[in-house]
Amino acid sequence: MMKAALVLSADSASIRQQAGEINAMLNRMATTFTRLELWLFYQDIPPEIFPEIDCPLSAIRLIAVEHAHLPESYLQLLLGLMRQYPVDLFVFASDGLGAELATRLAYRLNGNSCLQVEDCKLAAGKLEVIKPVYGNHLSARFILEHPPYCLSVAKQPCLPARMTSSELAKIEIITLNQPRTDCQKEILTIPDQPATGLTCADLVLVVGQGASSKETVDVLKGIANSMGAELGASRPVVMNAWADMNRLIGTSGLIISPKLCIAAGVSGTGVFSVGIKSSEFIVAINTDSKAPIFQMADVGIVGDLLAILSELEKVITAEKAQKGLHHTRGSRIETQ
Amino acid sequence: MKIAVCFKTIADYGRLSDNDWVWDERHFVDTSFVRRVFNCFEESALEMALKLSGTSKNGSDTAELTALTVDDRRGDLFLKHLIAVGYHHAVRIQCNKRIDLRFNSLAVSDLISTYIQREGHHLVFLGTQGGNGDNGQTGFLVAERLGWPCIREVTAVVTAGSSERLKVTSRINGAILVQTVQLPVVLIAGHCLDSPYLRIPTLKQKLKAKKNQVTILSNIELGLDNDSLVNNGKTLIDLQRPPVNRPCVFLEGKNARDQAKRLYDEYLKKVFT
Repeated sequence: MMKAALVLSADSASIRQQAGEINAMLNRMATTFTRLELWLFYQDIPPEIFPEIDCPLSAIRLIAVEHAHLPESYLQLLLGLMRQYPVDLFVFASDGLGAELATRLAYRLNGNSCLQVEDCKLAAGKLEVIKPVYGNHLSARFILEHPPYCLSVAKQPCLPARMTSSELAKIEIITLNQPRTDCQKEILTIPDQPATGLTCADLVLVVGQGASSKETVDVLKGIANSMGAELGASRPVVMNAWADMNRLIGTSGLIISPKLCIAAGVSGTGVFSVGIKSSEFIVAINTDSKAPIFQMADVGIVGDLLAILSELEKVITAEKAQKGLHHTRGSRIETQ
Repeated sequence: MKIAVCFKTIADYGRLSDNDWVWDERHFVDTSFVRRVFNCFEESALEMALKLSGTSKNGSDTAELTALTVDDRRGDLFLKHLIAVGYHHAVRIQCNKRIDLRFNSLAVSDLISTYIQREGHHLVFLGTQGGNGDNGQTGFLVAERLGWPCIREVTAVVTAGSSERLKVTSRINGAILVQTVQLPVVLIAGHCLDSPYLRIPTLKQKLKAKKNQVTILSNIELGLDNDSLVNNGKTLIDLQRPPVNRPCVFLEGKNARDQAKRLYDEYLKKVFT
């Protein structure tokens, strides 16, 4: 039996996904809570809708944070909240902020922390957690000895939480003195690249280092368009600037679960594989028959990705034309 | 400005086959037969620090660079490489072999922060994640132990007017943040498109680097006894290999056209209709 707080930022663009990941972990937990609260930080206007949490909430506390980009602000406010509403377990989001807050808060409270937690339960008065290790190739089970336990959940495929209004009686706006932070000055915020449709796409073509060049990736982008698929990319492709950062798939990018994922020229490292492993059907194309990607694929083709995908595009286009469907976009690829 | 860049080397997991993922009674996986590589985020951090140090117009270095790793002797090859590309000091902290550091970020951060304090560095650069433990916590803990501010997911850094101020760019939660910070500071590298890979030394640089020695320090020399490092309140119980549930069917064919046709007819038709 524990008191726990789920900590999220209402201003995060990924709040529904983050709450969905927390729900996925809560649903697997056998532990019951004496109190389960949602602590929601916001910058300007208190939120009026909240992510739906799968376990009954005792309270929703709304906390204004003046410097939303400074983790130190959150830490000071969390320490203040902990004094007023002590808990045994903090659950943070899977993003970088969640990782930073879990680690630093546990250090300041003399508790234990663990990041990317997939599952946890109380065992003999201590917290047992499971998390990926060795680049997502293995899972490890640990015992954490000292509460308060500060965890960030693992990035994983999940149903994004619905946003709903809540019983007003449960909602409390907490007013705390805003901490002073004077080491960082002259802060400029620039909007990043817009989100893609990758997380909700039915068809995704993911390209890896096997594409070999920006020109090939551009061609594959055309093929993806022609097939009605979104284009995703592995880290080497993004780091070589062959594709935009917002198309990165894997633990440090997006987790996708389309109906069909075609992984072309991807070796299949653990940190990448976690990004596509929940796809309904996976096709892998690689010149190396021993590439790890084949271990997680339903169908594999050993061969040149450009030749195979170009032919596949032709087959699909021909089939669609036969059915009288119109196409306005094509990749203009010719192969022998 | 004294800059320390902390890095680790890891086994290239992509070269391990499914059958290689076995472990001994101490839960160690033998990866000694595959090549080791820089952790990708720390490789970016190492290159970013080299660019930051740069050279002034009169050719003199503006910063003193130290490459620091907590590793056994396998780290020396990488430290030599770093000397060749321009690092002034190469330091390896070697712990007692009985201490399992894989999942112990508290101990690693203790070793790093103790060294940083002893040497009076102004900037510590680290990576974001990786290593056997996938802990992702060392940078944050170094900042906590030193009591310094910390910026994560850093993609670029330049001096801002003086060598005591830095302009740091980071990519955080859908926004690019550019902030000016006063030293000292801990920076944690993210996906850095401007410095994704470490530069390669010339033969001349490699030969010159041979004269420089790697400094090796033990945890005892840093004043940290074995017991204080071992006890971190986190105990490994067991390891599991997540199941791989997809028996891959390989599609053969005369040529690419044949394979693509089979793929469509036998598997994808229902998705596209």
